[in-house]
Amino acid sequence: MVKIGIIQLCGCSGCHMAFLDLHDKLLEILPNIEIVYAPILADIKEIPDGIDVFLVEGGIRNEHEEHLLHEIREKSKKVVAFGTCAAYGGIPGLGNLYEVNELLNVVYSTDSTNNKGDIPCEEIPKLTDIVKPISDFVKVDYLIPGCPPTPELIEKVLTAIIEGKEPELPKKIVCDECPLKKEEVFPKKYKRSYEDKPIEGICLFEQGYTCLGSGTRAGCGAKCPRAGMPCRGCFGKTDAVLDLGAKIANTFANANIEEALKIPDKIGLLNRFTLPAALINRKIK
Amino acid sequence: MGKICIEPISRVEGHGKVIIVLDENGKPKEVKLSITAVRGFEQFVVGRPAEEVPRIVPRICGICQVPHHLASVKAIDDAWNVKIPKPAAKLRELMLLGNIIHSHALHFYFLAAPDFILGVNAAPEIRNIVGLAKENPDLVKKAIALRRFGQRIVDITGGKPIHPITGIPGGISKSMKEEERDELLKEIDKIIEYATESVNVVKEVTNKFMDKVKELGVIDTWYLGLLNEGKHTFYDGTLRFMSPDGNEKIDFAPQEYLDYIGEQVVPYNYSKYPFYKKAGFPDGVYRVGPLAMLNVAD
Ligand code: SF4
Ligand code: SF4
Ligand code: SF4
Repeated sequence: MVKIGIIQLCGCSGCHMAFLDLHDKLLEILPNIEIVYAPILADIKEIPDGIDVFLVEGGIRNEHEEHLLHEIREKSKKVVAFGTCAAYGGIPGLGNLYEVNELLNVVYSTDSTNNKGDIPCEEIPKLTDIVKPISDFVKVDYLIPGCPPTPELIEKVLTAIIEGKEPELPKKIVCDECPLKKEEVFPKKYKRSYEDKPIEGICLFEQGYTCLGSGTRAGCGAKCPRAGMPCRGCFGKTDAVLDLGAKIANTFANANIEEALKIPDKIGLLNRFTLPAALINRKIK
Repeated sequence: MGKICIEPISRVEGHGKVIIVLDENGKPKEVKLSITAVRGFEQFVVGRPAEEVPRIVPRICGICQVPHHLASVKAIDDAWNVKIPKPAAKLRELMLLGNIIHSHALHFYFLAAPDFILGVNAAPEIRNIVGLAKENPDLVKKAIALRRFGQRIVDITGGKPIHPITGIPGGISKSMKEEERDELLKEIDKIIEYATESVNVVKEVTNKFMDKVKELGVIDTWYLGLLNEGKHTFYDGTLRFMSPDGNEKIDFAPQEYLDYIGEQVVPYNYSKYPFYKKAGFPDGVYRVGPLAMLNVAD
């Protein structure tokens, strides 16, 4: 039986939930694997040796996570970056726009805080300078992108690994799975999602909504555009480009440079899920 | 002085450990819960377009992402002074209920039940959902069905089963199609039946452990819950604090939370301790959740 480990590092457990969202299929998969370490599901406290496949959810935000990651690598044959946080840093990576002490000062001095400015420092791991994807520390054998990945993708990749095959990720972009029609027109102006009601059936980007579908790896089935919301890039970049943010910036600017410059919070939009893996991965003073 | 450290605390979302400090005689002197991770949402949402916040904060927790999505979008509705159309409010409320269905099935069957059903002395390798599936596959099938139904509701109303996206200031970006409604209606009776059976399972296993429950320590706290004209509600309403003895009740609007809720930073914990401001810290520490919700209701 294949021995599996699964852990949450700097993530939210959403990738674990996506695995459970295989629902009835779980009953077919579980008998063929042995879960030997999984703090979210079982009380085993030590990571055992000889793990075949380790699914790592979340990137690295503190020294304890970094330490666990090295231990996992040593004890596992294959390490999988499970979800966008592990693969690209994910939403917590937005923290890279601040210095650590700046970030902690804000967290511990909110209006609701009684003893403003007291920063916890006992018994807890020190934060790392910035959030990083796990591949910055250890060799990563495979990745399963998505925030969270779809259960279907998880099943596909996991099955391939268990059968000793090379797992394949979608090569296309979200636009390729999107039912909304492109009419090959450029947006006249960029709109925020609450401005206007999108015309049904027409590409959101061409209507001026800042959709990241044209640079984002396919796999979700264009979930957000199907629900009337522009893609935010949660599956990360495709194999064809180096940097999702740069790719999309290019698309937006080519379509309408003057209007593109007016888009608010460009970093937080273009690198929403991937800042720690971007060519420039933090705020530079 | 020695100490015992239980790490990681398991079968919960998040990262934590429990530290038990012992005195000279080896007796527990102090117990500390330490949440060992912080990401800094309080900082990194600042300065982003408000309508993007509901697309960021669900990542606070992958189990209960819907409340984070909805709380943030409600806050923006309020800040921008918009009243949302009734169907949008109903769809948002349904999204929340879908999340609660998944979350309860997850908590009870996937996380807690292995202790109750397989026994606390069963090995951790077995005392989990996989072990439970082997021991009682029919029960686990029902647990899966409940979760699937809850997640499907969120998928339909929220656009994604995990980390929904449809909450937008002023309403919701997706309506429910008739086929989607019918799909849910087709299953609802069976799901209610499973939920009712689940309540019986919970009662049964809790009664089995009543002796243990009576041995546990008692902590008096305040209670906080959401009400609509005195009745328990989930999505929208007024908040009520109730004192530990049940005598004092204080109602307030969510918008006034800063006047009523404070947070205390403690040195060994990345999480802050919320408390009822007028009672101070630590006296004003309060419970939320089912017990509190029922206690505060008229
Ligand atoms: S990728 Fe998304 S779902 Fe997975 S841990 Fe990160 S925030 Fe959560
Ligand atoms: S709506 Fe977005 S994902 Fe769909 S075709 Fe347009 S740009 Fe691509
Ligand atoms: S449409 Fe984009 S943001 Fe939405 S789920 Fe797909 S990849 Fe993620």
